[in-house]
Parts: sequence; structure tokens; C-alpha cells
Amino acid sequence: MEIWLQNLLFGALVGGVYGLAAVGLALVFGVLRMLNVSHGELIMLGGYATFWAFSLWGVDPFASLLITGPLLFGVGVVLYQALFGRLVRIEEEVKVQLSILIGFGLALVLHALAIFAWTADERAVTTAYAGRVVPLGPLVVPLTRLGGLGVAFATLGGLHLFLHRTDLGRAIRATAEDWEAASLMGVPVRRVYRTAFALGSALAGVAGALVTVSDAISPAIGLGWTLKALIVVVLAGLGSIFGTFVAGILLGMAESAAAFAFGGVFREVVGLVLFLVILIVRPQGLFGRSG
Amino acid sequence: MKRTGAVVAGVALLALPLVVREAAVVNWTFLVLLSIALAQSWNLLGGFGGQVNLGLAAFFGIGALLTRVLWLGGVPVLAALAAGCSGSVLAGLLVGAPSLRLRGPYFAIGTLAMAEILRLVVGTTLPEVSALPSRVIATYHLLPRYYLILLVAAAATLAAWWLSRARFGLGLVAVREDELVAESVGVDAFRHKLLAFLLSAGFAGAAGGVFGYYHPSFYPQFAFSPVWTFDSVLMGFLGGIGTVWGPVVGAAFFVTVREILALGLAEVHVLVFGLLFILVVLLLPGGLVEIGRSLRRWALARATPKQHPADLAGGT
Amino acid sequence: MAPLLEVRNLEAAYGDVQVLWGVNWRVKPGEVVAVVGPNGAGKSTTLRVIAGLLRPLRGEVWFDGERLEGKPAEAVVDRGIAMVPEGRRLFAHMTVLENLWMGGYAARARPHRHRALQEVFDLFPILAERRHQLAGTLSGGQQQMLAIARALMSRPRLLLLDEPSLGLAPRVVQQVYEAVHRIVREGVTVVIVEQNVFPVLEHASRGYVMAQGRVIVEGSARALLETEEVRRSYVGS
Repeated sequence: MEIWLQNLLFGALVGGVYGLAAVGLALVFGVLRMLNVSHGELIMLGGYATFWAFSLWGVDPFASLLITGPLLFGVGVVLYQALFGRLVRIEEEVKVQLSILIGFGLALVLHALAIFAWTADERAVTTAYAGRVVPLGPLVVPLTRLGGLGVAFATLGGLHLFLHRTDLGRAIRATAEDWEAASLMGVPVRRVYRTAFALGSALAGVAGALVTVSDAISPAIGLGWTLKALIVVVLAGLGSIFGTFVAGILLGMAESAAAFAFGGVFREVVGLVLFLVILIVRPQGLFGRSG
Repeated sequence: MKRTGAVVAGVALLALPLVVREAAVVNWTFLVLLSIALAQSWNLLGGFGGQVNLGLAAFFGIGALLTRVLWLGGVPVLAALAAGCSGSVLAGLLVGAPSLRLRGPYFAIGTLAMAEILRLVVGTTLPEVSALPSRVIATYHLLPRYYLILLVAAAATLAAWWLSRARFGLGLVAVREDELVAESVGVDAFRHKLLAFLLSAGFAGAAGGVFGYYHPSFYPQFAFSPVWTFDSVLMGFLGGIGTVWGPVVGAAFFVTVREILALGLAEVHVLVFGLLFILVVLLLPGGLVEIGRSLRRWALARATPKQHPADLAGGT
Repeated sequence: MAPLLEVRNLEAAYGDVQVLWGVNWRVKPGEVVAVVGPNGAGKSTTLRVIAGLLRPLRGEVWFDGERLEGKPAEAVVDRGIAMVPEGRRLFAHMTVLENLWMGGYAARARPHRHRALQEVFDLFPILAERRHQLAGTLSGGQQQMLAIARALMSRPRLLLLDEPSLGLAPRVVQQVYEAVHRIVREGVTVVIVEQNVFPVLEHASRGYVMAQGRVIVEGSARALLETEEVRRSYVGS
């Protein structure tokens, strides 16, 4: 029994990062109606930023979030200006397809650049407190993963406050609902798009930092994380940050349970199967709004 | 002019293994033909039909696995190939019907998810490498494999040519451009998409089957790797999606450049192709084929002597 | 008196389909002008061009001595034109208060947001009562009030209303027009586009009848009520 609980707890901790990764993707899709399939590569970049800050300057990975977040925000601005921003005027059906294709090409480019810059080897960050655990009754909680969950929760909480309590945040929500109506209110829609995209990128960066702390990173992790984020987005549906976070945790727990019960490969398979089931049976997701 | 070019190329390809003795050249041409076959199969649904199927590798893998298993089990090769191809088409029917009801991006990632599930399952159930036993290696000839893939590539290109002319193909393109409008003029969108899906699956399965017959040893799950899909998408777009010759040109370009670039830094070909792909999507949807056409038009315009307006005014 | 709004020979298209073939309007300050005509006449399209949602092919839009055509919507609202679009286009998952707050997003409106909010609540007390309710859960009439209130938050000098009575019961339509009257009394110039001829011509001073992308009749509201075209267009719609 205890092993099961420990297992599920671990899955929940992993899932928190899934949720964070998914929110960035969902934000871009919700506001710009574009599916950035290079999101996983942005997570990878955030991971490397964290790794190098630690390896070169000894910056603690949780502290370097203050660098990684803004850095990936900047990367997002550049990518929007160079690529995704060119698609905004296109009508929705074609726009989504084109964004998938552009994201696909971009993923290849970023993957190749990462291999050039940092080789294909796996990297990991081992902090002084890396092995510590926090006891929780009969269970133990790895400190770094607990920290990761905390960071994910705090980041998403901050995002929620931003979207609901600031003018720019409300403008982003309004644009996501109806960009034409928003522009009639004087909202600078292009600037909102760019900010939302860059925010999504920054969130990916933070997720990447958390991945580096608890797992290893390499240039190849991109596709896997994009798929994870996609699965969580479809699972949760659009419309609620909290819902996406919870869906991420649920996925993490389902993965852990499946791997424990049926064997390692089912960790990946269960997510994909859930994904297909939800797509067919309840396309608006578990927590999404219909329409 | 295009037709003579095709005939010349066809004859050259037919004669190649008989004329050139270097196995490396024949192998390289085999790879190009394999890539053409796959790129064309993606193009049938993706280019003409506008449906981005990211699970093409699944059909390639099914064809490869079925053919390999049956052939090594004693079934004559052509029957094994037929079985592999049919298996893919059957899988296409099972998967195509429900997945084609998903819209745009959901279809793309849904097919990707299905292919990945299949790959993971195959990887777990058949983890060992499939190597040709020594008795087979002793009698291994490149020629039959070469001609088989040439046949598949030619057939796939013929299918693309048929799509570009026949009423069915025009209906498919109409669905791609605007499904609602197409339906309103009586085109059954679902039927068109499903048939294109099956065609695509069939050719991918046939290509996979020949791959299974050709490769000395590979891990079964390798045949299901998404790289096969992504490479086909790349080739198709670089050459010109939705055209007959685009995948051919794109595949030749892709394989050649990759060979050249592989001599240099690792992964540089991925970088180059990724950048080219982005450029094509943003700026040049017609791909290399479109560049070729524009160049030809420009050359023709320069070659034609200018006529005085009075000459064109009609006889007096 | 110089016109506040002037539309000269406006031509516009959606993609390859041309829908406006030379529209001419003139609206003086303080007027209530009705624009009527059958579906597809180009009434909404003209409003969209004025509001900055559509670039015209040819022609000019003059507002208070300044040319506005081709400028984006964000710039137009800053000059003092607000539009209540067809179908309301509220932010359904945001509250009444948030919708109104968004209405005051433009630079011209920012400094006066709190005061504008108060004025708008005075005009539409029902909105004050339901300020924390999600806009999508309001009734049709309340949504229309909210849409108009939201547009007023930018303190416009010209208010464009696109089919305000669409989908509303006659009694509710009356309420909407009463609200419009109060707005006019505050000094706002109003242009109302309607397919539903009668309520709007009763509340307007002047009107244009449009069909097939052109103005075919113009005149005082009373005169229009009696013309052949209006009768025909009413029967036709």
C-alpha cells in the first residue's frame, strides 16, 4: 500500500512540471490559435540555460530561474518577430496548420543547434541538497522535486494574478476570446500576441529549469516534452490554468501507476492512449469550456 | 518536354544496376527511390488532400514488419510484400475512419500519437534486432530489391499523376481548399479523404515491405520511428507539396545533400533542412518545383523574340 | 455646421468580393443617423471600415477634419469613435466589470476609467447589480446594454451601433433605444445600422437607405418612412 502511495506521490511531483509545460503551450494556442510544436525545444533550451548557469557560475538552479525566465522570454520575442508573427493575419484553419509546420522546422533547427553547441550528451545538475528527502508520514518526498512542484505552483499562481489583475493580462484574455472586439477597445493586438508568445516561451524555460534539476537533459528531449504538453492540454481542455495544472498532475500519477503495474513502456503509452480517448470521447477536455 | 524527361529518367533508372557495377551507387539510388516512395505516399494525402498525417511511419512499419516476418518464415517474397501492403491498408481503414473525423491539428497529433503507441508496443514486444540469417545473406542480391522499390516509387508517382488529372483528384483538392464549399457542390469529403488515406497507407506499406526485404538487420521499432514521417514531410515540402514531381525532386535533393553534409559536422544537414523547410513554408509553398517552373518561364520569356504590336494587330 | 463624420466614395472588398461600391455618408455632431437596408447591403461593412477593422479599396473617411481610413482599430478608438459590433461580441468568460474595464483600455479612456464606470452604471443600473456576473450568462437585452456601456467607456464622440435590436424582443428593443436617447442627450453622435426599419427610423433624425453596396436614398427619418424603397426593403427582409 505504501509503495503505491509513494509511487503516486512521485507521479504527482513529476506531473506538476507537466502541468507547467502544458500551460505555456496552452497560452500560445489560446491567444494566438497557433500550435507551437517546438515548445519542447524551448523547454530544452531553458534546461541548458540552467545547466550552464550552474556549471559556469555556480548559480543554484532555483535561483537561476530569474535568468532563465527572462532569457526565454527574449527568445520568444525573437521567434515571434521572425516566424510566428508572420502568420497572424492568416485565417484560422490554415494558420494552425502553418504554425505546426513552422514549429516542426524550428524544432529541427533548435535540436541541431543544441547538438552543435553542447553535444548530444546528457547533462544533469547535482546540487548540494540533491539527495535530500523530506519525510511525509510513512512516505518520503525528494527535496528537489518538492521544490519543483512549489516553483510550478507559484509560477502558475503568478500567471493567474497577472492575467486577472493587470491591464495587460486582461487584454491578453480579451484577445484570446475575440481579438477583433479587443482591438475595438484599443487593445494593441499584435503586441498582445507577442507578449503571450514570449510568456509561453518563458514558462517553457522555467519548466526546463525544473527538468534539469530533477532529471537529465539533452538536445533530444524536445519531442517527448512537446508530446507530454500536448497530452496534458488535450486532457485538461482550454480555459483554466488550474485545470491544466491538475491535469498534469493526473497524467504524472497515471504514468507512475501504469509503469508500476504493467512495466516501464506503459509509462509513455498510457499518456498517448488517454490522449486519443479524450480526443474522441470528450474533445473539450476534462476541465475545458465548450465553445 | 516533361514527359521525355520522365522517360529518359525511367530508362536510366531501369538500366542503372545493369550498367553501374558499384554497389554503393545502386544502394544510394535505392535509398533515393525509397525516399521518393515514402514522400509520395505522404504527398497523396498531405499535399493533394491537405491532411497532415504525422503517423505515416506506422504504415511503413507495418509493411516492413509483416513482410519481413512472412518472408523469413518461408513465404515467397512477392506474397509477403502483398501481405505487408494489405496489412497497411487494413490498418489504414481501421485508423483512418475515426481519425479523419478529427479536425486539422487534432488529426495531425492524433495520428502521431497512434503511430507512437504502435512503435512503443512493437519496441516492447519485439525488442530484438531482426537480422537476416546466414543462408539468406548468402543468396542476397541487390537487383530484385532495387527493381521492387523502383516499381513502388514509380507506382506512387503514377498515383500522384492520376490524382492531378482525374476527377477524384480534383475533388480531393477541392476538399483541401474548402471542405464546406466542396460538400455543397456534391463532393463527399469524407470518402475522398479516406480513399487518399488508404492510398497513402498502401504505398507506405509497400515501401516498408521492400525495406523489410532489403535491410540486412534492423530493430523492428526502427521501422516505426517518426523520423520516417518527418523526413517525408521535409522532402515533400522542399520539392513542392501537392505536385507530381515535388516529392521526387525533394527526395533526390534531400538524400544527396544529406550525404554531402554528413561528411562535415554531425547534424548540420538537420539544421540546413530545418531552415530550408521554414523558408519554404513561409515564402515558397511551391518548393523546388516552383523555382524550376519560374526559371523556365523566365527563360522562355527571354528566348521569345519580341513582337511588334502591329504584327499582332491582325492582317490587313 | 461642419460634419463630424464624412464618408466619401468608399469602396471595399472581402478578399476578391467587392461589397462597397462608392458609399457617401455625412453625419453632423449631435445627430442620430439611421442606416437601413436589406441583408448584404454593405451597412455593417461601412461601419467596419470606419471603425478600422477593414481597409477600404478606395475612398475616404473623415472624422473631425482628420482622415481615418486604413488606420487600425486601436488608433480609431483613440480618436473618439467607438463601435458596438453586430452580435455584441462580448468577452463571454469575463465578468461585466471586466468587460467594462476593457472598454476603457484605450489611452484616451484610461485617465477617466473610474468616472466613466460610474456614469455607465448610472445609465444602466442593471449592470451595476450584476457587475461580477459572467457576461455570457446575461440575457440578450442585458448583453446589449453591456455592449453599449462597454463602448461608452472610451468616452466616444461618435458611437456606431451595428444591429442593436438583433435577436431582441420588442420591449427590450424599446429599452435599448431609450438608452440610446439618454446617450444622445449627453452629446454623443450616433449612427445606427439596422435591418429592422421601424424602431430605428422612429428614433433617428435622418437616415440612409443602402442596397448592394451603395446609398440609394437619403433624407429625414419621417420622409424615409414613407418612401417606396423603405417599404420595399422592409417587405423584402
